[in-house]
Amino acid sequence: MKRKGKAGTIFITAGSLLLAAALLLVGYNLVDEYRAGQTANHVLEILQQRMPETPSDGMRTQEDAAPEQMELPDYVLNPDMEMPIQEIEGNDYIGLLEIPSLGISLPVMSEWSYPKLKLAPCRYHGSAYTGSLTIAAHNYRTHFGPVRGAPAGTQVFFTDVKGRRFSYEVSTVETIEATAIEEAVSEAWNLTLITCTPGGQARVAVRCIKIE
Amino acid sequence: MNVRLCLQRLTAILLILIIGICGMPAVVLAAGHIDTDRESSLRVYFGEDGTGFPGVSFSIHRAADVSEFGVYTLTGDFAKYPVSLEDLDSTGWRALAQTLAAYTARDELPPFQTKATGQDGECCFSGLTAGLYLVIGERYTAENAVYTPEPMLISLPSLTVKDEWLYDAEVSCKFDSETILTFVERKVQKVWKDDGEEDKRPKQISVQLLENGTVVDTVLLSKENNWEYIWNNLDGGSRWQVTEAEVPDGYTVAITQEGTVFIMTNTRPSEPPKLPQTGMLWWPVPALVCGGLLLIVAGLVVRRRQGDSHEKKR
Repeated sequence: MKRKGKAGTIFITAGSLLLAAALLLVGYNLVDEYRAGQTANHVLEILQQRMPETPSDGMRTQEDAAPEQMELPDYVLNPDMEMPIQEIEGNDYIGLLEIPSLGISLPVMSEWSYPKLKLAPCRYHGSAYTGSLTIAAHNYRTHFGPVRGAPAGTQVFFTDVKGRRFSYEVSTVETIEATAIEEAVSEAWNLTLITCTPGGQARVAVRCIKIE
Repeated sequence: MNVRLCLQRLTAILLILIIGICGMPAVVLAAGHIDTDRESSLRVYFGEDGTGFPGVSFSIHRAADVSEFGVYTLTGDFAKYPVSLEDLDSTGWRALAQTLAAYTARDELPPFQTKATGQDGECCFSGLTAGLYLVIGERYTAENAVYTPEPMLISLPSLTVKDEWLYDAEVSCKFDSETILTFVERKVQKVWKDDGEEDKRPKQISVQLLENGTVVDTVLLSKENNWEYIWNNLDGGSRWQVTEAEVPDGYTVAITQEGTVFIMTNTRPSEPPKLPQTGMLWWPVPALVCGGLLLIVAGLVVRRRQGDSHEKKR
């Protein structure tokens, strides 16, 4: 008799512990998401202050110059050049990514690592100058969480730290395997945004093409 | 001497062409698809300085299927062996041939065809379907020297330097020549290729010594003996090979013989690299909630039954 009573208590205690663990995990995720958003916003403010005025699509014009004297940007002359960086609080950033319709405006780090991904989206591969850039970020709602819902035609902008702005639009959203590295860095797309699916087993790849 | 050197170099070049090219899918594509229904033939030459060795028995085993795109897949009895056909250069193919030849001898796999060389040192195998063939020859003794043909893996059809599929291939057999000794020595050394995953190695592995295809000794290699072992006073008239009794899980094996030393390499294929893990840890939440609720309900049910039985007794 006593055994039955004990078993009931053990079940209820174990169940309560599992619920508490679920609650703690939810709390941790929400706090982590909030912290990531705050950190990215903080860096974004500094980056925007340091960036020059945004010329259109990287085509820098000289003030007061005649159209025939228009200067070609260095990245057009040499697309393989390194993307310039701006160091903020010990991390190197290559620019900022904006998707106005999703309310996304985030700084992009030059290189990726797991600690860096906790702070901001990171360049995974390529360069905006060569026409093939892949950016990876966590699926925090404050980072790339909303991008998997981006419809075709959504406008995306990337601005480098020199203020050169590149315009893209979403062409398609795909789900690819976690090991599909070649697909992730495919040069068939001018910009690819990578983040995890909700389960974390596969990756969402938002494919964008450059628009004039 | 010069003629011998030339022949050996030609043989090596031919082998590299036949075997090495097989591992180049880009070239395969350039050559077009393989007609897998068409029969092939293989002519083998075994001799030195233009003199063929007669009466030497050669056996061939069909080790792998080949697709019309030139992709190999181990087949039949060979499918069970933990070897790798991926990213092999000429050295890798040579090691693979030696490894499979040792397993073939140990497990007494029946050959697909057996032929003996004629007076010209040649024998010809015909009616062969497309695939990767393991060619194994017996030893030939002449005067004070013994000639041991190296096992070969030959793709049929073979790719020529002109990027054409050759369905009737000819190959000159590479061999080792040794002076006949009463006793010989053999050494086995273990090489691990598992950078960063050393903790997955077994503490010891078991190596079998084969005399003319029969296991005559088994030794354990471990850190304690520096992963190597030497057998002394072996019969100089016998053919000696080694095999790994059981290849550790997750590893492949390749065995090469350099003189009297067998190098047994265990490779752990590295995990394919993955894209960054950018997901939050949400998936345990529903599992924890469901598990928790189930346990609580189960606990309440148990308590209720306990209460009912109390009341009945009163």
